[in-house]
Amino acid sequence: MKIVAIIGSPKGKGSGYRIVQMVEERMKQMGTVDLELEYLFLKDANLGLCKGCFACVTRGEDHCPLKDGRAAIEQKLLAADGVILSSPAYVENVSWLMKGFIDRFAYTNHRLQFFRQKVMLTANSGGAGLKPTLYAMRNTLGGARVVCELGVSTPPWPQTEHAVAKKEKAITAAADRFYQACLDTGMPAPTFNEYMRFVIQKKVSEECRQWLPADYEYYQGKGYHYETKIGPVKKTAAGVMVGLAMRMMKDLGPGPVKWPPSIREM
Amino acid sequence: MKVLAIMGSPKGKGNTYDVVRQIEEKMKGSGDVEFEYLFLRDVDLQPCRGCFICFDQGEDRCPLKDDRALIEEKMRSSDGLIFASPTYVMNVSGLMKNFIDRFAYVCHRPRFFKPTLIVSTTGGVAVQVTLLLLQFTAESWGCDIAGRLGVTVDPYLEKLPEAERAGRAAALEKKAAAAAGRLDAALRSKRAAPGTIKVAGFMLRKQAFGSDSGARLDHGYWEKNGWIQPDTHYFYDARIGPVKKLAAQLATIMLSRFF
Repeated sequence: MKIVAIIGSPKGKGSGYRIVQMVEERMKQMGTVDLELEYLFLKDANLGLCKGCFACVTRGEDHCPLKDGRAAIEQKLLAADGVILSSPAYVENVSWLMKGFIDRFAYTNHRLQFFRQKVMLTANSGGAGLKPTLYAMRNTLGGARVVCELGVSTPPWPQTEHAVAKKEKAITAAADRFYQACLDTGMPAPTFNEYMRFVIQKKVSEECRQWLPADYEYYQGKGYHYETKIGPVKKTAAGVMVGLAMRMMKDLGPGPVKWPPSIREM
Repeated sequence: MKVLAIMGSPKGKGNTYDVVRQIEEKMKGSGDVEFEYLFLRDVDLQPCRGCFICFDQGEDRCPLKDDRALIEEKMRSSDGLIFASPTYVMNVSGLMKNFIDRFAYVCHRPRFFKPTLIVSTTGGVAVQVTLLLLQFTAESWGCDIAGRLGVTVDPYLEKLPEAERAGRAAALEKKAAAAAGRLDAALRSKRAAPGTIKVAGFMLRKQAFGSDSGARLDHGYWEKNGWIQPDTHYFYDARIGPVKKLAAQLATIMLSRFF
């Protein structure tokens, strides 16, 4: 089993790293399969801060003006069975370093690709902010399923035994859940929501063909992101719902009618 | 009157800038207001190392020698603030996030008690999430949120038919005018009484920094400012009635669950 742990702390080996190490230890104890866990410290990674040019979304990630290790990191992640995303909570949010990573992979929310990978999110904080930090990492790798979220408070003072036992228990439970999920290395059957999202994104890519050429090329001719069977019920229901949503949204845009009419016209 | 706009777009002058410029135009039309733009992409504000020294020993001890103190001085000396960031993956940009991280210590030792506008733009979804995150940060720093402006900008605007473009421009202008009006009014009127959530935020921190058993630097700051006095209920003099006090007490429970 291959796992990559993305460490989003600018300190590198702080509390977040220790927590991932604990997850690793527990996964190794559970395992009947060999576990290979690679740590990728964003502070040392060759990954520049996004320039916001939008080229990755419109023309494709190969057009990113930053020539760095992004593509190599992507390949590493695609080769893994699971990915752990770890960030400290800074001001009720991910660290700037993790945010930089998220921004650089933003295009994977347009052209999803991490279908085989299971994701564990983990956040640590000396004070508050665990939940919003976990929330901010949910859409990092397009296509991947987040199978567990582990928030651990790590105050700078010594803890009570009860608090420690609770945290250890949560870490064990998360490790177990993540391990079980990563054992399944097949392509998952899409849920109804996942399928709906596919239909919507495909439709947008067609309507915005000239402006989103990379998306258009990606979605063209696909029944789903990958070879899989979509049942007729799911297909029809999604078609109806998306059609309905599109019809509802049609009237949100501007039209030729001025309304309400001005008082003089009445 | 001086308004400082912190611009979090790595592009610099993109959609977010256009929106803030419109706000500037509207405000200038109604009186003497001076705008200064601080483009984070151009300033010397290095990436936070997460060493925690600013919290523990004081921001002057930050190992990064750059323009942080200068930027803080600019924020202190302006009458109003605008925090503007594009929405990237349902959040602020990485560049904006670094700015927030570098001023994280202000959450413990608030200081920017001035009318503030929150602005974000997106080509896709979730501009409201970004506004919420920016608002939360600004309020932690003590800011009084005068208004929030989230704009969904069609990334292909110039390719739309003329009539549709004009319609959208008019809608944006109206929104910008409303936001400008709110900031303008806040700048010209007396400080508004803080809302329930802000009072709750004050209470939570008063609890945390009220005793000298924890963070010494934070405690000293709160003490020096007179915020840990039993009859102090906010950072500055404000009328807070018993009903709001009670509601804020309840809100502290909710807040500590959520965050």
